[in-house]
Amino acid sequence: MRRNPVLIRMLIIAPIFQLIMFGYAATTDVRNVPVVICDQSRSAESRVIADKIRVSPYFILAGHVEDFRQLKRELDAGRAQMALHIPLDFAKSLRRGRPASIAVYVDGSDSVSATVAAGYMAGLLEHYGAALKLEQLKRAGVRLSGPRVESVPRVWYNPELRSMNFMIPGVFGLIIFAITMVWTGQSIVRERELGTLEQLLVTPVRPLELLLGKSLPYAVAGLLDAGVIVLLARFWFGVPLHGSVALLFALAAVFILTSLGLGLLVSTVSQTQQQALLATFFLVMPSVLLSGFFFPVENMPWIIEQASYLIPFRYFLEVTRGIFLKGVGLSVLWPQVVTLTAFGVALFAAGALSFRKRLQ
Amino acid sequence: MSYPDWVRRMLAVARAEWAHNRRDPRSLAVVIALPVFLLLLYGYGINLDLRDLKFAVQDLDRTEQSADFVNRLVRSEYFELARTIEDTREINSLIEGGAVRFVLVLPPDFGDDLAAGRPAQVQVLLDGADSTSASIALGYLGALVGEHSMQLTRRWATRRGLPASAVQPALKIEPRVLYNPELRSVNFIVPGLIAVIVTLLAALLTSGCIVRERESGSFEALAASPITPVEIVLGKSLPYAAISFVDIVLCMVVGWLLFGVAPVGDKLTLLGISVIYIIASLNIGLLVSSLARSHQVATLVAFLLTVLPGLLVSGFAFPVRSMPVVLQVIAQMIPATHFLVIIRGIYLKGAGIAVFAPRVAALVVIALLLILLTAKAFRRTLE
Repeated sequence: MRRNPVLIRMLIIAPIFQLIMFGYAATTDVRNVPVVICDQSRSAESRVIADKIRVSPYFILAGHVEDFRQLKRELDAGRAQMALHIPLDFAKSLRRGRPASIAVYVDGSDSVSATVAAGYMAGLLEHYGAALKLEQLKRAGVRLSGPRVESVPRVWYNPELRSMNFMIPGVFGLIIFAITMVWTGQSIVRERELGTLEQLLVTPVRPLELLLGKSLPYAVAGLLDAGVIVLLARFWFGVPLHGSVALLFALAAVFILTSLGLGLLVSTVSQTQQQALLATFFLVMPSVLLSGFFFPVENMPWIIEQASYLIPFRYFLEVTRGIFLKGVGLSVLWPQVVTLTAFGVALFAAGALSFRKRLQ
Repeated sequence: MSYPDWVRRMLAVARAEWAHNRRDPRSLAVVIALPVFLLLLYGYGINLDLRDLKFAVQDLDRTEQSADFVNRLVRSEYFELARTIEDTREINSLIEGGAVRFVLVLPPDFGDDLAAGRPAQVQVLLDGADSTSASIALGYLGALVGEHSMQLTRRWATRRGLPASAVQPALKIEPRVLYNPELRSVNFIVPGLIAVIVTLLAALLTSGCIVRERESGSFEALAASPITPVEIVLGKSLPYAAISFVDIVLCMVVGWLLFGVAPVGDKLTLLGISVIYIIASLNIGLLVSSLARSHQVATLVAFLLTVLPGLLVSGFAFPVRSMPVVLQVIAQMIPATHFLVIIRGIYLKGAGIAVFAPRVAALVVIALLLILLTAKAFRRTLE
């Protein structure tokens, strides 16, 4: 491996590159939603709505249209994700004290961002509606207070609800997972392809020593990467790290054991580097999406939720998020620790055994 | 029928590449099976609609009013009451351990306040670690609290003899969801998956293409032949283009048969545009392959340049508009970004090619640029 300095540089740069990309791209915060308005009322009251949209951090006023056909065209082309239609009698209804309609069209393609964006818009309009109502009542001489429920939310661990704080601990695990697994598998298969593996077998090197020699560098690289990522996460992205760093690294080492094991297993079933890459892809993609990285596991169909118990990454995610954001320790995380250790030992042993068998 | 020379040479290269792949049936099987497998997995597994969010309640009031309020949440399909808390100390461990998403605490004078016509407060302690679920939970909660307040105010006003119009809201908001009225996440996921997974695989496959020849030494033979670099590039990508195309059609069929997701718009237009997209994506892999010195580096760089941007920055998983401007600009250079808009548009909106013309143009430009760059890199390594 030392013969390939480009590779070594890659081993350090790649995770940084990945982390930065992930950190900034992986955001589920809804922002800059383009909205077009079809304002047929053209009253002072309807213009206030346009102002509110312009000022809101969630929306961008993408333009005004004349009629419904134009409105639909903007949505079709994706130039707007939402559209408001304010009818002719809007101001009149308000002045008469009747409910004034506003039609809100939402592009439902991306159901998640549509739901969130619709929620924000509803909030914006309801807020305006409440202010209008108060004015109406004042003019009518009615004083309405009355009972209502107010919720006082207090958010633990991630008060500004930055999705970055949610994603980056997950990315930490993902990068370690992917890197150690991909490279262990690849390097072994490469030797097999080039034929140098057989050469090694003739030497007095024992299979166990060969195994350790092949996987140790990548384990070390994995831990180094982990260190770099933690530093970046904490000081560049500002992700809080409340828990014990030592515990984090200890568990990262255990998790690396699992990925090494998987990498070894991949190398034994692959004859070419291409196959190894595809096999890795085959294992990484389902693990990522079913482990709770993007979407909570509890919301998946029962059978898939059960399958996720078999994915080591799932437990490591709970560990990283727990240590980063919640500052919890062994007392809370011990079930995950036990499971991870069990997986680590089992997978590494399986990988080692099949590696040895393959050599014979 | 006799083909012009350059076509024959290109096909010769294609045949050689195909022969190489035939010797590796397992890779082929994976490339065909994997997209379908992932489509099945995500189609059934991913549920972006959050429901049955677990919560716990500590009711320090225990009156009819507080029970009434809690009931509204219990009856809602969005929430699931996991625990009724007796001891305040439980709250910590419930949230820390992730057993509930939030804890509702109703103060002792909740009922009294409401009965007297005053606003009453409830405390909501949210687990903010999963920010997406937390934001959505807050949204749902806000809606339910609003509904409850509305009902209370109406009853109170009626008892006071106030006219109904006094309690009606000033604005009547009529939401209308277009294109995906039931907000089924599958409708959104299937076209996205087809776009991304299929070409990711193809790009990864091509990354080994040229490097392999260089490592095994057959490169010189290729260089000495009368085949021009452009023909080599096109010829090498032909088998993979064919595989990717088959993949796309297969996924479209599976998406339709199993999930009932079918394009509302013109399928032929979609297939036509997907050819351009495939060519563009494959050439990224080929470009990497002709620049890289070793296979290991090639696969790594290909992974970084195709898989990562393809999944993250293209708009597949996260909305491009929410990203920093720098990334939005980078996104425009990725073929997947444009194709995602097109395939989702054709699937969900039934829009025609007129609407997508600028995006298709972008794809063509990117494809041509990549082919030229690859050919140039290839020519350079020949010397």
